Amino acid sequence: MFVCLQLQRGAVDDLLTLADTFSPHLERCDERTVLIPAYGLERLIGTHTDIAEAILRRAGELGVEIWLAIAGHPDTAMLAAHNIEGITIIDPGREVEILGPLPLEVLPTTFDILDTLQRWGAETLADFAALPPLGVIERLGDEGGRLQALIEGRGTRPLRIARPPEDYTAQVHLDEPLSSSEPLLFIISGMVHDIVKRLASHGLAVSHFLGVLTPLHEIRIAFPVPVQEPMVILKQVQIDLEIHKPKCAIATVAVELQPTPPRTTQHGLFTPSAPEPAQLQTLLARLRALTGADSVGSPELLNTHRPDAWRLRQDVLFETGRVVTNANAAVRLSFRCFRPPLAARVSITPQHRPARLEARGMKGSVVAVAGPWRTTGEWWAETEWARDEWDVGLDDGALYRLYREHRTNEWFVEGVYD
Amino acid sequence: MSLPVRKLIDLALRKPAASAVCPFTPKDLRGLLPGFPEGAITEISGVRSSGRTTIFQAGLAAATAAGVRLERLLWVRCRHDVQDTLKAADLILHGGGFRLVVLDLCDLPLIELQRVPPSWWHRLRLSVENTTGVLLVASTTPMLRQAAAVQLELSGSQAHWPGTLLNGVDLRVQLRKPVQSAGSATLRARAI
Repeated sequence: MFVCLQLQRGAVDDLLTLADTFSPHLERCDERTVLIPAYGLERLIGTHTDIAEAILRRAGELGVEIWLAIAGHPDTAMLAAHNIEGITIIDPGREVEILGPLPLEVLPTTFDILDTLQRWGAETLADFAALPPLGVIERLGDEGGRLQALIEGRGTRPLRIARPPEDYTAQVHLDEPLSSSEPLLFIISGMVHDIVKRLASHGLAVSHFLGVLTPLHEIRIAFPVPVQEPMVILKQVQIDLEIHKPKCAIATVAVELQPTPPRTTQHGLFTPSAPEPAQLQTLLARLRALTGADSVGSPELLNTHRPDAWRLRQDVLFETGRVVTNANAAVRLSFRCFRPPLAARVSITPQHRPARLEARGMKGSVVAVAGPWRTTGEWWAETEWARDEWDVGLDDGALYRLYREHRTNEWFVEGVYD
Repeated sequence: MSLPVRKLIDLALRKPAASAVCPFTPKDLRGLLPGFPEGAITEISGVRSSGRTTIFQAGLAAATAAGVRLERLLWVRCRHDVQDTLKAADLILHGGGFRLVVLDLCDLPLIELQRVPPSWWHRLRLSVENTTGVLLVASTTPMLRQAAAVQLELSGSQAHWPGTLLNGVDLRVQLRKPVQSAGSATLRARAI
């Protein structure tokens, strides 16, 4: 059995104090409603009527006015407490009798379902409960079944216990300042292990790591997926410390881990493998340490017609899933961009077409040419472009794309068809 | 007590177990090469405009979906540094989980590439061996020798310019390795 307390008049803090007086396990349904379990109270206080009177007495002492309901299903108790004044005690099997006279509008559901029920002629909860359950599920789906079960008090669910906010931080003042990263990592390791153990006991994982090494050093790491393995966190910290070494000796180490619900995934036997997010995070950190932070990522096209407009997305996270391969797709000729484009010297024919090309690593006569194609855009911004493009084939067989900038009248080789 | 030391010749002669192939090769090439072998290196070499990028991009397109799905692609830009490029490839192969890894050496200085010790290529070969991954190495000239299980060489491509457009290119692909199935094939890469 569950007790639902609905605050009518008074302070919310007093309502929480009232609930806490009778049970440490409470669920905050909304700002003015709490649920507590009644089991255990029977032995301490007595019957459900005694429990209700004891709670009301205590509420009077605290100066709050409440509506109270006791029922076998927490949601049924909440429905009664929201809509029936005073004390409502619903013994098992009497749910429809007590809740039945309430109008349909009190049901916590969508407007569409209420509208459908009203068009069927149902006006009260008793009318709805009298409908055949299978027919309701066939027409309204799971939601219809859930609502009928709510009125009849069928089934149950565990309470979503509200916990006070935990402090997932740790701090160590060092006897002697440390400048080497290895002993620092050793100290951070102990702190991270302790905090992660506390997080795991609360069923939580880590989304962000913040390390403040006093003076003058800070480590911030954001994990794309929740992490529960201390070694994954420490590996990231180690790589960060290797890249950004502390500039002076460290006197105090403070660590804060931001909690988040853990990741849940459904793996399939026949889905192709994808890198494990935790391993991928470590791999990306290693690659960024090797080549630079802006050199690793997933390419993403920008929403513009500007040539070669793209960026590397840093929050790389691959999803597993079946890849549909089109085995008979036509092969498309690839284009290899030179970044930045190569400055070129181009001879022009009397018909204003490229005749000879010279640039770094390439030289030859143009034997085939297509173009020009004029493109312009973003004249309102600094990224404005205006150019004539040509596809050219040289006498050595290489195929290039050239362009002439209108503003400067300079030629560039944008890339090669390869 | 001495540690076991592998000689280079032992590594070179060590043959990987016969394994499945990934059907990531273009349709017109399948008569010559049914797919890229799993757990081995495939080397694609050729000069500019020979079609080497087209072949490995066709592999990427097949591996990620129809057309290259960018959100399934991890790109590491190594700023034309040979050492960093090889280290990054090694890290990715050891990281695991990637079906297809492409090592693009086409724009790296040839002199520096020729100075790379053969043991580095064999290290890459050992990294990919006994996995379900495929490593494609694209370069201007063949360099991997014994480390590559399959060698494709592209040369003598023919561009089509009907009217005033580059319509497509006929790519000529020669299978150099494995020697017993050597041969050549031609496929059309469409530009438009």
